[in-house]
Amino acid sequence: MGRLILRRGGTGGLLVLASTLLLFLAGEMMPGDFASKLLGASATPETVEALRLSRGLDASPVARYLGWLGGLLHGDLGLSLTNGREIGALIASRLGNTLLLAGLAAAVAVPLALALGTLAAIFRDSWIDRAVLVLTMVTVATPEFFFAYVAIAVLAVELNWLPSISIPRPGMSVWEVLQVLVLPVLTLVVTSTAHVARMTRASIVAAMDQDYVGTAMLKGLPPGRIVLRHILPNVAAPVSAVVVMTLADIVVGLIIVETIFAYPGMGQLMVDSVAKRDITVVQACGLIFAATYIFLNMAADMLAIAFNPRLRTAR
Amino acid sequence: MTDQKRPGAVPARPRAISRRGLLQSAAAFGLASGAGGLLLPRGARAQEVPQSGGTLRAGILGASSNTNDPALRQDEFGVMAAYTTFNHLVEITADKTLAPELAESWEAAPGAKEWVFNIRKGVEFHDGRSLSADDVIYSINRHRGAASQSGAKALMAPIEEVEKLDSHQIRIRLASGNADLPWNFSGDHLAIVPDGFDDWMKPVGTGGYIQTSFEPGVRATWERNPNYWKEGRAHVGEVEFLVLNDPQARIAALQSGQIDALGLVDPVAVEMLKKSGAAQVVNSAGGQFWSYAANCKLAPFDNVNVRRALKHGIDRQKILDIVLRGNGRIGNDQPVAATDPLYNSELGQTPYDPEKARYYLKEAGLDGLSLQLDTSDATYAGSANVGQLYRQAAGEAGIGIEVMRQPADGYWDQIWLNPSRQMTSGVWMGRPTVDMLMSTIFAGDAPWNEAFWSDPAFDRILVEARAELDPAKRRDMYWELQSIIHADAGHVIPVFADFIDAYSPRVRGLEPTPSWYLMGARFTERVWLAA
Repeated sequence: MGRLILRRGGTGGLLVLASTLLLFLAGEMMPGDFASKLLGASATPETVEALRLSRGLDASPVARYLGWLGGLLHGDLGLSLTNGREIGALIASRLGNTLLLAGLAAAVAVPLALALGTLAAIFRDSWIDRAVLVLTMVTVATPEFFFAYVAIAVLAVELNWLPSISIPRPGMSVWEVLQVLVLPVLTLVVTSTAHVARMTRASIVAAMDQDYVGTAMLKGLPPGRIVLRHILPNVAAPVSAVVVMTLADIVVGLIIVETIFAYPGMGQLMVDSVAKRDITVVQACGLIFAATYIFLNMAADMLAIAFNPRLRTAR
Repeated sequence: MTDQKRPGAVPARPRAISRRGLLQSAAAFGLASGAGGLLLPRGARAQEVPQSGGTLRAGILGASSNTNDPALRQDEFGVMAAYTTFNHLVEITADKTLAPELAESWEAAPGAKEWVFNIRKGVEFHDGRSLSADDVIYSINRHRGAASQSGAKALMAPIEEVEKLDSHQIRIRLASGNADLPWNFSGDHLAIVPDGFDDWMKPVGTGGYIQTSFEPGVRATWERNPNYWKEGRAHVGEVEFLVLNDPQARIAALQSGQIDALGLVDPVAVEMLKKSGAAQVVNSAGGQFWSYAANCKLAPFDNVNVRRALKHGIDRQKILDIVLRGNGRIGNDQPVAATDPLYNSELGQTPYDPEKARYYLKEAGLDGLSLQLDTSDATYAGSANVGQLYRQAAGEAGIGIEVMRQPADGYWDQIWLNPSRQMTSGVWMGRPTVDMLMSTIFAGDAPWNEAFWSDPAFDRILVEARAELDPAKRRDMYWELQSIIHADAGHVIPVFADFIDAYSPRVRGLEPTPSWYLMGARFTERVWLAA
């Protein structure tokens, strides 16, 4: 088990390293330049060049890439090109906000999805099952931005129940912060619940045709008890994998949701920085997103192994 | 109502007023009309007595790279923040005249090469320091010199020396005469900061509000400067800028009452906002225009008859009606707005006339013409649709236009000003003076000469007019320059687009301002909030 974790961790590390290279190359290939964007078209070429030099952009791409990697190993994300601020400090506050939003969304979405999937399986072919089916079909087909705009139009503009801007202000109480976060959390929950619910239902339904479930039924156990005590432990592996992938979905969906609700998180920072060609910030944000995604994937694998004794013995 | 049709007139009713607002305004009009226009703007719109206090919240375009440094400011945020925290030497008023701000008065020596500015006495910065000539000199010199990265570097380049005459008087010496020099100091880059100041996370100015917090790309707050030197300005207690970039989210924030002020409103949203009653819409006719620049260095556009054919092949009214929904006025292929005091009002309007366009093509020895027109959302929303309208209209005249839809990303860097492109789209916000406008776009050596047009006679008059202090002669010269551009240059200017702003119903003191969005970026100091 320990060796397996080590090996998976090593693969993950290599993947992160590969993504740094991809991010760097993508940054190099991006058209446009931060200096001419920052200074505006009235700037003379000399002024633009002076700013580029002052940010160390005269070094060769290889030297800059190695310098960046070296900094990363020391936990130094470098300086923003546009304003020269520490990227680490810039990201610190944003990362906290993003984790809060993603965490809240996951805390609502995962139990909700598991419950919906389980209910649909227990009451297979009933109206509950069909309702869950329709609901998940609709939400899985709805892009985040569309749901977000509809939610804003109805809940914020028409009914005026909730704020459409999710900017937390200093001095807000916990309750006020939660209120500000309702719409983005709702958007993320609605658009990420479907997969897990469907997977849970499918796994449970498949398990119901197994012999051990037949035995349990013949013993006269009530259906709820069969699902909760006998089936759920056996479907934990596939379902947990889907849950973790859903978390990854939430992290990716954040970029759109944060932009629409003006929420000051990592996604918004990345979009801002792309627009300003602040490549170093884009790379740092991209790396954090990539690492999160890789880590969650690894976690999904590990969970699958942990729940499946047959995979546990490493060869 | 006929006023609205006449170019140059300020629309009589430039905005929708909610029903309640209308009643209040009407009532106040009865009371205030006898007051003799203390603060009454043009059009005799009703004004109540300004109230103090409240929090003014604005949705502003910005990014996490924004700074308070006026030299390196970016985005709408940088401009609006500059006029909230700082003052400038001069101020452009709502009727586009120049008023003293931190400079009490100024005078040019004959030839307009030497200028003396008298700095206002008794003004204090937010940290208690008193304003003196040293602060002004530092604030100007920040933009000068080889190492300067300021957006105003080019504007300040003609200055040869800034000299202190006494504690509140400076002299500026220019390389060549410029009768408009004081106007150059109205721009947001030229904010006056204390001598030696450089802590831009905690800016210090002399403006109506003191910044209390600044999260780049998220929000910024100010509280009223209790010590503000200006009478009857800066009424609200607190100002809050929320950085909102998503177009739908911006409108929704205003409709749901989370913000009080929003600039850069899309013309498409105007009707909806007016009908909803949730907002007051203010249209400011001004210098913002859309341009199509035909590359005069490329055949066949080097032939003036081809350019005239292009100018007669566009249906300006249709573009105004369909794309701008009437929020603007038609252009006449020259860049000076009808709201400008130097506007040449006797220049004939070029009509949409396919026959005439054909005639000019024939004069150029052509049976027909086909060209590529670059459009992009980097210029203005719907730019490709405007291009399609041009294509349709020009098709009637035997001009085949292929509308290229270029990605917004990289448009300004790679397509626009690219000497191999035939015709590109652009958008201009206008400039404080006609000289700046023409020197920027139309002079042979202009940095943004998007049509690659040059005319020695034009350049000569432009330089002469710059140094001319006599108003009548200046007017004649600028009228002449407009007429040359109109007839000869590579520009097709279909429309002038209004600056459209929207405010929540409780905002008062609004008036159209031709220089930019949100009352020429000075809304924080000019508006007040009804209780």
